[in-house]
Amino acid sequence: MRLTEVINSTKLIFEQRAKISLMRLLFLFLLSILTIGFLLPTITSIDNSLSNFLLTRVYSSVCHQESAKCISIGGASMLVCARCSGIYAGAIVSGVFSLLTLVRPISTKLLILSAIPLVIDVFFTFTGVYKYSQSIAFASGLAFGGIIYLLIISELENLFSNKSFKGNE
Amino acid sequence: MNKKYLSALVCGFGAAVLTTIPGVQTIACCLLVPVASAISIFLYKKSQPELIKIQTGTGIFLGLLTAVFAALFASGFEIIITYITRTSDLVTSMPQAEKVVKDMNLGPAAEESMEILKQMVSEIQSKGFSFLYAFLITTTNLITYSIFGMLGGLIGTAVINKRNQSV
Repeated sequence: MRLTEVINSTKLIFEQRAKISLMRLLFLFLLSILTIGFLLPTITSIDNSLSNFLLTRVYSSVCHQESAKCISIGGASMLVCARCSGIYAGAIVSGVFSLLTLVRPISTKLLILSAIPLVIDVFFTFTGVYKYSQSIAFASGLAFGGIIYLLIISELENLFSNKSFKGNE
Repeated sequence: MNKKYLSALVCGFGAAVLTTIPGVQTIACCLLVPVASAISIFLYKKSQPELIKIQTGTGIFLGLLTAVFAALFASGFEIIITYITRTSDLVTSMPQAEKVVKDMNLGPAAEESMEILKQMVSEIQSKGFSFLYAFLITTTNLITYSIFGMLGGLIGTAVINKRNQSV
């Protein structure tokens, strides 16, 4: 009797684990598509003006795309600024790590802490304390992107496992 | 009106107004729509004091709703501004795009797409409105805002629920 209970619970754990891994993989895949989209001009030359216009438009609604603030590779600029690139890069890195390890619940404090470098950099460059630097902007987005990704993943897992954070609506 | 829709409408409208102000997006960048979604959840929570925790699904739905409203309002504002000024970012970037196509000799597909763009530009300059341009900006706004709105909804729900847990 006990043995069957143990086998059943082990099965349940493995099933849950497989579901979680699949969801993380799917989310990482979607994030990769979003990332490849803004990297496209640097990877390949888009020889179609209409697709170029559409691609620029898609990212222009979520980034100012100031050419001086976008990272250029081989003369072609990315479609988002260095800070946004940093956020996406941080998210990708933590996405890969989340496939290999367990994700602990992210506290609000950690989220705020990860946003501090980003806010400080925006404030200092806006007030003119120092000049805008692409590398600082990129680095300031890294931690924020990583933590945000982990927070999203843990929330999605809550949603699908339907265990905790169930509202009283 | 349902409180869900009202908070999403208010925040979506606010985000759309902010996107039209020059310089705001330089500071807020990709955080404008997610923050608007999170505020919309916060307002929804405030409007229902009996609510202790918000379901993640509700948070995502509210975020999506805020983003859809923001996209529709932002597109509407852009169409109105284009109609009044008879110019847009497409019109200003056109000469450069034309030069690239000419210099690089990119073939018939590039020229065909250039023709479509030229048609949009001439319609904007003469009538102030191009149906294709309006359709394209609304679609692109809806796609991007929806993704970021849902993410904002998810993060907002997590933060608000955790905040309530600690109180």
